[in-house]
Order: sequence, then C-alpha cells, then structure tokens
Amino acid sequence: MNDSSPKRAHHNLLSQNLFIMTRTYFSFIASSSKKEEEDQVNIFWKILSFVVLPITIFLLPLFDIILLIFLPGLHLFKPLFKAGWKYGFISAIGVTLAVAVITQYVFFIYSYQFQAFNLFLADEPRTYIQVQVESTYIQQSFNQYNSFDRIANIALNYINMSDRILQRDLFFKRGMFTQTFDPITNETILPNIPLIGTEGKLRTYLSNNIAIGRAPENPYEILAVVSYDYYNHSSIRVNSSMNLYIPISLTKDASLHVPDAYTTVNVSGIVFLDELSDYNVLGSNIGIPLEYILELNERAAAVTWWIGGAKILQSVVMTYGLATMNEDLFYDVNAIDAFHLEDEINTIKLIGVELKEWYLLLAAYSQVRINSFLIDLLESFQDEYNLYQTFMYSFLSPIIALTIILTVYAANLVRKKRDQQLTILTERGAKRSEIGSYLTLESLIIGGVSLVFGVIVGLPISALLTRSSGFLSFSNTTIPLQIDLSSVYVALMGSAGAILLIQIVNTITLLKKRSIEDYGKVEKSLPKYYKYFVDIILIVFGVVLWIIYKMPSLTAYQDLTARYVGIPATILVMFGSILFMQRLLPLFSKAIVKISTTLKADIVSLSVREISRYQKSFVRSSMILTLSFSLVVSSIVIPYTYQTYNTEGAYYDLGADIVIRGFPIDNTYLKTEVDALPEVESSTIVRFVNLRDVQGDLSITYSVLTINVTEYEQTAYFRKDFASKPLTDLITQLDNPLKVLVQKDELGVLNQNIGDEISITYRAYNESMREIIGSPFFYENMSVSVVDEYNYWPVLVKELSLGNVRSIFYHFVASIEFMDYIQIAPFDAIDYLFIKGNSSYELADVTERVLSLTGGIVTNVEDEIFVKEDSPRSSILFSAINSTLIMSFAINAIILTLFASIQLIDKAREIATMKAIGISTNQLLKYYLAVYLALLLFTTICGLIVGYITSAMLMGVLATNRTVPPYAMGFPIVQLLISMSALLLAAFIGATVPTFSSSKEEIGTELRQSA
Amino acid sequence: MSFIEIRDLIKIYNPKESNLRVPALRGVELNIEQGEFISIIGPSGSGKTTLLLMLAGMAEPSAGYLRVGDFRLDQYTEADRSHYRRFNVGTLWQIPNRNLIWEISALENVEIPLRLLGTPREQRIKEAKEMLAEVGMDHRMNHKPKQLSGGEVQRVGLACALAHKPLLLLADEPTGELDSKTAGELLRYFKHLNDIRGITAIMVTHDFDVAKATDRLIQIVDGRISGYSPTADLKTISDMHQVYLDRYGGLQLPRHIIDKLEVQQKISITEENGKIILSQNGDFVASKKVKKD
Repeated sequence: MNDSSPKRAHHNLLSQNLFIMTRTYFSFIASSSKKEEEDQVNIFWKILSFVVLPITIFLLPLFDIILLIFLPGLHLFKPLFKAGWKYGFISAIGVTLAVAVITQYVFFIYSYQFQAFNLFLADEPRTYIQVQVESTYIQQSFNQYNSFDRIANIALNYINMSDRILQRDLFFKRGMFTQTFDPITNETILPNIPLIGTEGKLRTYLSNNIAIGRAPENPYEILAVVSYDYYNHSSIRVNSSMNLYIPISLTKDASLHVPDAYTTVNVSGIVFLDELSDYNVLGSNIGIPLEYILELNERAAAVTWWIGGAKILQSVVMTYGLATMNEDLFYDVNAIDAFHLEDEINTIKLIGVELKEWYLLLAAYSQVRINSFLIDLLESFQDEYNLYQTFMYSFLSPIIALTIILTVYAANLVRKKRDQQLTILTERGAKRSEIGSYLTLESLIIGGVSLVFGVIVGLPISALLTRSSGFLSFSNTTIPLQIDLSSVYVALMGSAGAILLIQIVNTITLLKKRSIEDYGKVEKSLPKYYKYFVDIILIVFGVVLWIIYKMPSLTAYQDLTARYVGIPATILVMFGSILFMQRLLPLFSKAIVKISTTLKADIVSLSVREISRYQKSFVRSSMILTLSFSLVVSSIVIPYTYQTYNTEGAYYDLGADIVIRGFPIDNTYLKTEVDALPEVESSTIVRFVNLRDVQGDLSITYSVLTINVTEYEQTAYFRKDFASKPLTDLITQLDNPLKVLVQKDELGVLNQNIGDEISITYRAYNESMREIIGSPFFYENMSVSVVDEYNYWPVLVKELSLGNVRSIFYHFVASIEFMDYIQIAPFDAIDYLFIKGNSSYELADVTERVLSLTGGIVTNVEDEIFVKEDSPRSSILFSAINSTLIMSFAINAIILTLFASIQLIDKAREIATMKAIGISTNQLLKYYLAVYLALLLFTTICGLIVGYITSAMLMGVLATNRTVPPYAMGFPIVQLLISMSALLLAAFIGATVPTFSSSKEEIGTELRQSA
Repeated sequence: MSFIEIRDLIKIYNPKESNLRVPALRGVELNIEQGEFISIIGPSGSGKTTLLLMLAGMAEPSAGYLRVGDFRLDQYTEADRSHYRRFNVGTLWQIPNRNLIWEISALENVEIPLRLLGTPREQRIKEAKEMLAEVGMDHRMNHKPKQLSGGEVQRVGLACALAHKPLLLLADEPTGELDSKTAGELLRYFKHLNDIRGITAIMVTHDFDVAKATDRLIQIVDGRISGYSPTADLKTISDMHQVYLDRYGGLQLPRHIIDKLEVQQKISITEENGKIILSQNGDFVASKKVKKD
C-alpha cells in the first residue's frame, strides 16, 4: 500500500455521520468572510453551528468549570464522593462504554477512509488528466513541444488550479508494427510497436533505465521499450535494425505483404518494462507504471526523443507526419477530499473543460479529447462509499440507542442508590443548588475519567474492528488502524458531547423534587411507553414510511429515498418492534410459570415470577438484550443474504457457470469436444430470439428462450422460487415445439390462462419471399400453447415492465425445436452454450480451458460477481458489516459486565433475605439462573424475529438497484448459532457472577446495610 | 405564645399514579411549648409520621396553620423549608440507613450537618467529636455504620440530628428496631439532651414504655388528635384509653405487659362471649371486650 492517503480529508472526516455538524461549524468559520447566498438550509446550519455547537462543546464545560470554582456544594464533596464513588464507578463504566463506542467508530471510519480510498487508488494508477490531440503534425522542433505544453499551463493558471497539477508530461504516439522473427515459434511475425517521441522528465527516466545499450543519440535511433516476453519472441536486439510500418489492417492482414510505407531504425538500447520501477511524479510519492502513462497495451514501444521521433515519423510516407499528441497532467491525489468527491469531480471536470477550450483556442486543434480516469475512479468510489454509508447509517442509530439505553440503565441504578444519600442530605437541609453543583462536579470527574478510559478502551476495539474483516469468513481484507490528531479530536468532541448529555440527564433526574414521601418507593409502575403506545406509533410510522419508499411512482428516486426514507423506516420498525415485543414479556413469564408449575419445578416457577414483579426493570434489560441480539442477527443475515444475492444475481444474468455467447451451434463436433473436457461437467445449447410485432403505435416483443429439454436442467441455473413447480416438471411439459412457458404476470396481461392458445404475429424473414413480395420481411401468424407459468427465468426476464403500454414484452420459454417453426433471419437468433464446470476445478481454469478450445466470448460467473474476496466493494461492504458485528459483541460484553455489577448491588438484599430463610447456594443459583435463562430465551426469540425483520427491510434498501430476480433472505444457521451461543454464554456467565459473589457476603451485614 | 402552634392542619396525599385522594391529617389542632418532650402515639396510618414530616418541613401542608417558632411552615416554599431544616430541625428515623450514610464513618456522618452550616473544618471536627462523646460514641467515631450495633447506629444518628444544635428534634420510632435495654439507653440520651439543651423534642412511637419517658403523650387517630395525657399520670395499662388495632389487624401490646408475662413470639387468640382472649401456652394473658355485631 502506498502512502497516497487523502491528507486534506483530515478535517473532512468531521463531516461524517455524527460529526457533520462539527465540520460545518468549522467550514462556516473558515468561510465566514465570503459572501454567500443564504438559503434556508444555510441558515439552519448556521444556527446549528454558531449556537448549538458552541453551547454543547464549549460553553457547557465552561459552565462546569465556573461551577467548580464557585461551587456551593464543594463542602459536601468529601463525604459524598467517599459515599458514592462505587456508584459513580458504575456510571463511569456506562459512560466509558459510550465514549469507547464513539471513539472506535470514529477511528474505524477514519481508518476505513484511508483504506477504502487507497484500495481504489491502487486499482487505478492513472491519476492524471490526459489531453489527447489526434492527427497532429509533429514538427522537428522544440518550439512545438514547448508551445503545446505551455497551453496546458495557461489553462491551469487561468482557473488558478496549477497547484493541483504536480507535473506535466508530453509525448506523441503513432501506432506502428514491425516485422521480426520469433525464435521460439520459429516464424516471422508482425507485432505492434508504436513510435513514441518525448522529452523532459520522461526522457531522463528512460535514459536512466536502459538495461542494455545506450540512449538514442543519432537520427533514426530508438530505444526499444519492451517486455521480456516481447523481447524473447522477437529478433529486436541492441544495434539491430528494424522496420517500422504503419498499421493498416488490410496490408497487415495480407500476410507479410508489408507496404512500402515504412522506415528503418536502429535500436540503440533496450529498456525492459519488467525491470522498470514505477515512474515517480514530482511532489508525490505515488509511483505509476510506465505502461499506463504511455498506454503500452502491446507491452512494447519504439521510443526516441522529440525531434528524432518527428524525423522517423515523417520518413514513413503514409503517416503524413501525423501522430497523437498526449499531454498527461498528474493530479495531486493528496489534495483529494475523499468525502467531498462531488466538488473534487467538478474541479477535475473544470480543469478538463478549460484544457479543451484553451487547446481549441490557442492551437486550433479540432480533435482535442480529454480523458480523466480519475473522474471514473472518484465516481466509482463515491458509489461504493454511498453503499458503505447506507450500512453505517443503518447500524449507527441502533448502536447509539443501545449505548444511550445502557448508560441510562446504569444511571438509573446509580440514581436509586444515590437517592438514599441525597435524601438524607435533603432532610438535613441541603439546598438543591448544593446537591446539583456537587453532582455536576461529580459528573465532570466521572466524565473526565471516562473520557480518558473510553478512548483507551475504544482504541483496541477499533483496532480489532479494522483487523477483523476476515471474521466469519466474509472477507479477507484487513485495514491497518490509522490514528490521526483530527480523529482523536473528533472522538474527544463526540465523547464530550455524549458525556455532557448524560451528565445533564443524570443531574436533572437526581435533582427532581425529592421529599421524604418519595423515599424508598419501589418502582413497580409499567414502562411509560405502554401508556402512550410509543411502540405502536413507531411501527405505524415505520410501516407508512416503508409503503412510501416502496411506492411505484418513487421507484425512479430509490437511490435517494433508500437512505432518507427506507433506512428511517427500518429503524422505526426495529425500535417499535423491540418495544412492542416487551409487552409480551409478562405473558411469556406467565407461560414459563405455568409450565414449571406443571413440571413441579417450584424454584423456577417462583423465580420467573420476578419478571412480572419487577416488570419495568426487566423490560429495560430485555430491551437492551433484544436490541443487541437483533443487531447480531442482522449483521450476520444481511451480508450472508447480500453475498448470496450477488452471486445469484450473477448466475441469473449469465444463466450458468460459464456461457459462450455466439456459439456455433451447427458445429456439433465442437460441443462434443467441450463436453469431453474433464473440466466440464455438462453443457447445453440455448437459443434466444425476439419476435416483434407492431400494432399501430404499439410495439409487442415476444422474447423466446429455447432450451434443450433434456440437457437444460443439469447445466443451467434455476432457483426453486423462480417457479411454483420444480424445473423438471416445468420443462418436461415442453414436449411439443409449440408449447411454451409464460411469465406469470404477463400471462395475466395477455388475459390468458394455462392451457390456452396464444396467437402471435411477428415480423418474419424468409429470403425466398423476396421474389414474391419484393421483400424478405413479412408478418407471420402462429399460435403457441401455454403449458405452464413461471415467475423468473435466468437470462430471459431482466425486468417486468408492464406499465409501458407503447412497448410490451412477453417472455416465453420453449423447447429448442421451436426455432424450426419460426422464420427469422440467421442473425436474429442469439446462440449460447451454457457450461457447468466440474466442481473439482477452479472456475477460472475451466474457463481458460474452454476458451482455448472454442475462442469467442466466454464469460464465467465469477467475473460477474462484484462482492468477492478482496474486491473494493467487498471490502467496503463487509467492513461495515463486520464493524457492526464486532461492535455488537463488544457492547454486549460490556453490557453484561455492567449488568452483573448492577445485579451484584441491586440484588444483595434480596439474596441475603433468601439466604436468611434458608435457601441453599444451589437453590439460589437455580433461582436466579432460571430468571436470566427465561429472560435470555425471550430476548433471543425476540432478537431473531426483530433481527430478521430488520435484515429483510435493509436488504430491501440495499437491493434497490434491481428487482429481478428478487433476493431470497438467507438464514445462515451455523453462523447464527455460533454467535448467539457465544452471546448467550457470555450473558449466562454475567448472570452467575452476582449470585456467586453474593454467597460470600455475610447475611447480617447485607440485610442491615440494605434494610 | 406556644413554640409550636398547629391549627386545623390538613394533609391530603394525591398519588400521581392513581386518582385516589388519601387524607392523612384531617384538621389537627395542637400547641407545644418550648423545651417540651412530647410523644405521639397512634395506630399505623393514623397520621403520626405525616405530622412529624410537616413539623420537619419535609412535607407541604394541604391546608391549615402551622408555625414552629417564628417559622410559618404552611406558607413556605421548598427553598424556605430547606433553609428551616438546615438550621432548626434534627431528625432521627427508625430505619438506621435513613439516618446515616452507610459508606462513611460515624464522625463524617456527624460532620455533614456542620458542613451544611459552613462550619470551619477544625471547629466542625471538634464539635462532631463532642457530639459523639455526648451520646457515648466517641470511641467508635471512625467506624462505619455497618460496623456498629443497632443501638450504636441510632446513637450516632442522634448525634447527627443534634450536631447543628437545632431548636426541634423529631424522631420517628427511634427505638423501633432496638431491644428494650438498648432502647432504654437511647431514651436516656434523648432525655438527657432534652434536659441539658432545652431542646423541644417530639417522638412518634407505638410503645407506651417509650412514651412514658416523655413529658406529654398525644394520641392521634385517623388524622385527628384524640387525646392528651401528661405521661406522669400514666400509671398502668388500665389508665390507657385503649390499645390500638391497626388497619391490618395488628395489635401492639405494651412493653411492660410483654416483659411481665414474658410473652413469646407466638400467642394464641380466641374469642369468647364477645371477648378476645390472648393466651400463651394455653394460659390466659389478657382479655379485651370486642364490639358485638
């Protein structure tokens, strides 16, 4: 990996997800002097940036400091802190967790930014803008070289972008070939070897890399820049002479009848491409292979300097001295703002437009072409990053929710315990301001400690995340952890915000009017959301949003609606369902009580009653567990489904493992040869034809895929849910050439049923008709019998567009003999050979073997799969998923630790009381474990259901780009079992800890202390 | 003018979670003089603790007139009441961990009221130690409450309640969790501090023996004062108007009866000719006439 990290993107990281506000704030400060149009969005951001953020980030800590200095509650600090540090510590664990989650998220995103962009850069080394001027007369003068190069400079200066271009290189290139003797095959060959003339840095670079011989010094001398392979297959050597011909295919084709248009050059030196180190651009440490710069597809070139090259070019008569002038402008990729690619793309486009205009204006060249591979690269990265962000957005909210619930949970417990101390103080006459300021100070201390520890804890978690993409075999890509000052800064800012939020909530809650009457109240009320039907409201909103998202009229905007409607809908339904399911918890516990009573498991029966007794507390725990289980389920189900979907999509597009398009079906010998290959398991011929009819302004197309009924099934891809019947049952019905299978929905549009005859008219072709009617084309009627229906058929049904009445498509499947009953032009049918590879061979090897036999267009399914190991997309997609999964695990582990600590304190009295009445440790263990097991069982079931629903909805968001074939939700039982078992085990251990610990405590002390 | 003056004091609880309105005090009329040591007695739910909370400035009267010294508690806001409590009131509750913070030492607990007054550190420690010495707990000042016995915890609680030298000491069944010997000790400290400091002390109790240690006994039933007796007049059980039956059917027997007859945890109860007979091991303990329907 090179170091071409997007350095300028440091501050832009702030614009990501949660931190977009922060970034906007700074960008506003930076651009405050600039006048800009103030639309409503701008005003909104300004308010947010100038008011909300400073208050949250700067003023509140300042307020804390002031409180600290003029603290009315400072005199209470010592006893209260001494009394409450244990509860503060629990609270600190919660806050630390929140900080850790935020920190690792930021570090992960930041590291990911480096990795993802580098992956894309590595895939595309052509980080330059290329000006190509074709058919330029190359003069034997440096003036031309300089003036041509100067135009680029003028254009860049005009738009003040010269700092974006690190270096310019100019060369001309003219396609040529030579005649040489291949000593290996022992024959004379005509390989391509373009003529290139250059100067400047390229000249120096080549001169420095000559492997044999020397640089050209005399007229008609060239450097042969070749690969080893090319060198070995030719007689080109130092000091040998070679003829350069222009590539006119006709003359080249007239085997060895080379034209007179040639010139003879001497090879002064050899540069081996295989030995060349990458070409380094000034001001950048990115190396670019020379082959990319000179576009040496042939892996060979005859390179010389500008004037000498012009002389050689002009000496070949038929070139008329014309060549393509290439100016490569190397873009400063370090300046690329990886998160504002739209701006970056526009900048590059602007440079391109200006270059074109200036070349047209100053040099009057009419054929100026601007190529920027960088734009394609950036656009491609942007698409991929959108996908990544979709995932991140989807999982961000549940994770934040989980963190907040957990922190509030911890705070609630702490509050319950602190209430006692604060009540005593209140009774003794402490003022609210004193207690409030003390609590604020305490929060500040807890927050500060948590901030430091959170970042420390977050670091290894993010390191784990970045290195764990291979987790559960999703991908092998790993990302090195990148830590930068700005990411630390963002993590601290985000965490400080979270701490402040928690601090304010805690302080306000603890400061709520307290009186002696409130003291010691047992919280037995039902959760508030029950009363206000928050769960139902969330579900209804979510479903309504989902319906809007799925509205056919909005299909065109699905890319946009996916993120802003689809994901919110999913999150609402997820939260709503989790809350709703908690209503079933008492029913569930009652059922368990009933069962255990029937089974005479008295302790279980007694203990599970706790769930109903402390419903609110259990519902809170259940919510956290359900949410984390749901996250785990979705983060396993989604990638599994998506990967399967992607693979199946590729199969659907292709139809089989390997497909040869345009296969000569009449060559039965060739098919037999293919079948005989050990790498091939089976093959089948498939023919496709479009029969067209025009009725007024209505165009009807009958697309017919004809198959070999006996061979098709064992070779072709077909998923069970593509039809309501098994494939065998479907195709065995095609025992007559005029029997067809019809797409189910289309059958409805045709107003036909299975068993009906469909009359079709199509534009037929028959050469013999020319004599009769003056044209080989005529309309022919035929009727086919519908024997069955299907939903989807690979290769055939790409979309179901039944809405457009001007152009209707019907898709039929028939036996291959159908083709004998229709009259079509020979070129109207597309013939395929579907091949199934032998599973003991690599598909790529099978493809290569088939290709060597048949030639032609051979495609294998692996080329069509874009989510595969080490592909940038795979890396992006699965990094996002993995991060969520690991995060869920990490959060779960911490939740359970916290849960155990809370239990230890909360249940002490209860456990002591039970021990006092003579319960044995075993019974006690049984008692509590039964409750936790019941809770875990309930949350596992809920987690599976909610996780599955969420996954299904998220898949609906992710699979917006196509609807045919529909994705089938996967359910990776093994992966789920492993993950859920690990979680359950962790939870179980978490639950046993307090019980064991409590058994060590002395009963009397416990009882008296908590009396 | 009496030190404490209560006229037609009403308190109605209106819990948020239900529409029920629960009257706790239904027009209490009471005068208490400065330096008096008063006990309030009555069945569970009669309003004793509510009256105590009102006097402590911990609950807001629903209606009526309530004055303690110069403080018109019926007109006070929460902030005023907080100020009133800080300087004027000391409280001692039945449950030990309502009096003390369990995680800090006895001395630190006693220091808290002094901290709230802003007493300088040296003086604060000195006064706290003196206070602990007054209740006989100076030798255990560095112990945490969980290391102390029940009686000791309550004595430290008493030291806390009196550390800031309040005008009024309020105690809600302070001996409820103590055996009779320890209770007797605590009461002696109570009485001693009442005598030497001239503090007005009001104590809620179920126990007639405890009540007898006070100057005056006030009976409260169903939120109203049902009688006053100078405790000096209380000689025997027969002097009492009645033994109270609480809303759950609980009956509190006078301590001296229990001690005298050595009543165990279990006693038998039978009804005979309109009389309730309590017996121990089949022996007659006490009988009481019950109303015939």
